[in-house]
Amino acid sequence: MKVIAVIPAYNEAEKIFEVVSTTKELVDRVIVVNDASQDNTLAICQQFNEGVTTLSHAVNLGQGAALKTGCEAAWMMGADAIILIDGDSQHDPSEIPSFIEKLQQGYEVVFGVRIINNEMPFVKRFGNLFLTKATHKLFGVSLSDVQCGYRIFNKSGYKKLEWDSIGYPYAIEMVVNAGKNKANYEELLTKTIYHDNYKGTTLFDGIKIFIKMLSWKINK
Amino acid sequence: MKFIQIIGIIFALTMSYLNFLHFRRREIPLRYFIIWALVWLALFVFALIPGTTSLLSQELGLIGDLRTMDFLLIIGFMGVLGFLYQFYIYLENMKKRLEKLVRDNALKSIEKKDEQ
Repeated sequence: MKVIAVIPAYNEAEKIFEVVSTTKELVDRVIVVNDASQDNTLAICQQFNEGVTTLSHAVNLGQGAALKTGCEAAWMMGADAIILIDGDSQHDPSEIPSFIEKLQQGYEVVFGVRIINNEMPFVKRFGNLFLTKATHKLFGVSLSDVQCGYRIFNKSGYKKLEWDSIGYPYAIEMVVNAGKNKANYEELLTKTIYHDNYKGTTLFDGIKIFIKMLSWKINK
Repeated sequence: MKFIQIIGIIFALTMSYLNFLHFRRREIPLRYFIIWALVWLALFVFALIPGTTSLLSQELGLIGDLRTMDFLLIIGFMGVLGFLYQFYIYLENMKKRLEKLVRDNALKSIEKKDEQ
């Protein structure tokens, strides 16, 4: 099974080298999508030759769009499965084999989930619990952590969870679509790692995501 | 003529000129040119002959100057909301087009590498 890792990166110069070099040892290929970073992210990624493809957005679109670009590229390169990993080292690449193993048990999608405890900053913990509960109430999808972006899926799984959101709401849209299209999914416990409490989704992003969820409830 | 009337007339004439300029530069289509031209013409007439607002209010069955002002404010507010909505739809469409363009461009680099 050809597994390609897709890593979205926006201003990740500090961590991206470490993430890519560790990940590329565990998958067949790594695709980094530089989402118009203003730091050295692109230059760092271009240092890799073997096994790493770097794509670049001319304009910053958002994590959801970067992942869409990466996934399309991965299917073009003949991937059988895609694993999504954050570029800021929030996901431990050493867990990739567990994801692949779980997918090979016959699932279409495996969602990484974190234990929502004190290791997660308070605002993110509260937001995550709220959005996880809201996803369950609004769409009937049960998942312990709807915001964790560490995920693996095969092509049939991808078709069932394909998302439109270009920003942060993509993470929940994938979950909602997986539930709606009856994807065969499972969750896998992953580590909770936070290097920077101020990066990622903010309280306002959480509110925007919730409003988006309400619009999906009406439209989807 | 009151000071506010002069301000209104200058503003309406300036906006009409800008509207015409953008139309001649082909930056706005004919229908938008006509809509905006009517808006600025109406403002010009109201500023030059304030009595027209009273005539309008009599025609529409509204009584008194206050009612006429209320009526104009409501019409103006509705117009602004309408334009806001149009801009919102336009921006959403532009966002989608931009996303497609940027993503297609990024993917083209793979196709080029494949060709090499």
